[in-house]
Amino acid sequence: MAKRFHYAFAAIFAATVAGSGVALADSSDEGLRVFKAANCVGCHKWTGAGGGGYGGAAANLRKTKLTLEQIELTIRCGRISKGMPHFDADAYTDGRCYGMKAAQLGPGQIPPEADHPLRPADIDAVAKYVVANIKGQGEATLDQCHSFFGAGSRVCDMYAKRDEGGVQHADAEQQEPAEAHQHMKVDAATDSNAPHQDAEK
Amino acid sequence: MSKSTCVAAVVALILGSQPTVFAAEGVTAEQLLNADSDPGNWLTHHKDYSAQRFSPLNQINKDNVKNLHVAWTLQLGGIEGGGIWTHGGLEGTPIVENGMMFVTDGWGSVYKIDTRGGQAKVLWRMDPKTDHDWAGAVACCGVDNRGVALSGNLVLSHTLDGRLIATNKDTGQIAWQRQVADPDKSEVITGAPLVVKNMVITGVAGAEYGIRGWIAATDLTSQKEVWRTYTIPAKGEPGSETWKDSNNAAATGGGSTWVTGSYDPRTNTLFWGVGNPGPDWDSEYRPGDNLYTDSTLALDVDSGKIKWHFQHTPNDAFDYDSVAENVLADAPVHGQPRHLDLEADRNGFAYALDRDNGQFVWGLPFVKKVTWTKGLDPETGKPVEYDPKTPVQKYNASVTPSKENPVTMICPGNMGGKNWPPTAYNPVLKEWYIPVIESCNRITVKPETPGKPVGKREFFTGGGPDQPVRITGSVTAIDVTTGKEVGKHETPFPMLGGLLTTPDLVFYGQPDGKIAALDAKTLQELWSFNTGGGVNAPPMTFTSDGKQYVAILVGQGGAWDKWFIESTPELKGMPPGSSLYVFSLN
Repeated sequence: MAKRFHYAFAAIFAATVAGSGVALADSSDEGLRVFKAANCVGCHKWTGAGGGGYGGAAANLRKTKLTLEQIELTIRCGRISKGMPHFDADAYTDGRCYGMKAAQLGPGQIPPEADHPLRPADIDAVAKYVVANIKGQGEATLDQCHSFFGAGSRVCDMYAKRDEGGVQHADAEQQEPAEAHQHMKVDAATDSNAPHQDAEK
Repeated sequence: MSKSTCVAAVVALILGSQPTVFAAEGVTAEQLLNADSDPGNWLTHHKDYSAQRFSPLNQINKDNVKNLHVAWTLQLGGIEGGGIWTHGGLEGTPIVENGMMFVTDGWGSVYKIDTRGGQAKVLWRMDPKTDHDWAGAVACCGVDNRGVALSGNLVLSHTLDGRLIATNKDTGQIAWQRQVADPDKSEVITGAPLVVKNMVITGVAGAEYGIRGWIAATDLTSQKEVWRTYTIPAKGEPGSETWKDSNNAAATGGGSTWVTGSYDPRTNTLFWGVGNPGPDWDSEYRPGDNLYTDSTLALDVDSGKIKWHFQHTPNDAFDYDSVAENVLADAPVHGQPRHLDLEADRNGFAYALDRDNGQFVWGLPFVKKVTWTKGLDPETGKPVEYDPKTPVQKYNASVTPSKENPVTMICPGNMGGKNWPPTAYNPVLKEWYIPVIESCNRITVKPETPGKPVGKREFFTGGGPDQPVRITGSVTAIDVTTGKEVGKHETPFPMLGGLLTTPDLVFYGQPDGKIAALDAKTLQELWSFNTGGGVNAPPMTFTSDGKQYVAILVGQGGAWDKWFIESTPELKGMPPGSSLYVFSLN
């Protein structure tokens, strides 16, 4: 099923950026790879929804109004005075980003350096991935989760329960035995400090 | 038990494939009770039930430690990422029984290493096939696993995805496993298990995601859970009155238990620290003291019933967990013999309690800078500004994060004056050594909406920190007989790995790769070595073939390089790693 929905995404993608002249399905694959490898997931989550936490709040890419070009710019240059890193290693060497050089920016203003800078083709691919698969997508779904992770992880189970009103998604069930992961449940003891326990003793 | 495990176990039994006499009976409850008088071994997480991390071994001492050098190293695995994490790291304490060492990597693989003959030989690796994305997406602070416990012929370990696994010590096959924590509820496990009697005890992490924390005990024979003590009381239980809101904030109240506890057989009491309330920085969301968050708990080990509690930071607005280990030490205080419980809290204060009743004995700041309170009340040990009649505590209101004060510098920073890395207590000198994070950081409050459902597997923190100023560290020594600071050895980086003490030495590691030994009395550095990899784990010591070794895991993990790196810019280039360093004289 994961593969089938992957193709569905490719179709959406094709409709969105048709005419760009690249091999669309491959580019989407590539964008997903970069989205994982560059650790976009680390702050924006796999859904792109971002949100608060230890690292501060990452933007919600599902609700973004940025265009493809603006997203690409944000990936290359990061965001001034925010946590979004710049993935172009030379972003602040020659004024290519927002017309600014490193010396013009204070320590709290210059965006963090990415752990691993991205090549222009990678930035292009991941920006297109965001536009095609994340921007404007509404709430994350089980199918999107499986497209991202495959069916081997329990990470998508919560979407199965939600989408099916608590019933395990039939297709997902069929996928599971292929992967070696546990489906044990917690069998917890009763609350040690509950008052009724005193009554029993 | 799987069929193949069963077959392997039977084969091992028939062939008697293990040559050592020890393998047959394994580690007994009696041995664990007496681990403090078994200097060559390191049988349980904190060495023995007192959690002193003191070894009486003295082949390596202050006169010859300058000659310490690498005996051997070993590359481990588990470096891969998962969920929101780009890589795993090492925070574990190696366990050693009769020359056999057991370590874990960040994803919970267990390695059995034969250290005899002055070299390392990996006998087996148990890979639990942890669900990386399921667990790693809700691990607030890294892909970490702090090690194993031993009981009989089993090696007990946890996985980040919530399992307790019993591995056959001889074969490396999984004997049995059970799900203890539920990552669907954002519960994960990073702490090492603790074996007491015929039980193995588990703590949980997840207070940044709206869990309701607990400590659970599993019977080693029946493999069933025998008790579960929730750190947030249910309605009607004692302590539930300290959650005064009308939105059921207690249901997502936090109270993690991810650092292994200690045990006093004299009173049959388990001591365990409890973490922060959730949401971390929005204290108005949860008016009241929020028991038992930020507390030390004393539990009856057979039933899990709470005997007493001591709360360090009521209605915490800082993320000042009290999850730290509780060190059990018997020492005179101002001339009176006391049974002490020592705890170095994230709030920057070191506490001594009477561990038989939870009464406050002394407390003092162990960091250079505390701004959130003027100090502790000398009678009660509570922050002096604490007012039990006030539902939302303001402490030093110009510092405390709140809606009125939404961007604020706090000292210590939210990683705390001391985080999980363990302290060490030297019973000869009666000095207690604390691995300190000398820090401030900036909190931005983003209030959560009362009554709005808490997002499943989503951060629930009410804001977040950032790092506008440099963070350093120290080893700070406290004389427990007076409750006074007697030394501070400053370090350029925060202490992210913890301590070991021997009769005259203190060992530590730094996130820039340095490992060092200090004179236990003067805190002067006597030896150091740079491993070239970030140290994020505590040193330990053992003997093999009668010779003393010091071992430490090397490989930056944890929360630092993702959330706190801006405060230590020199560490930005430090790549992840996963290795074991073992040192000896000649």
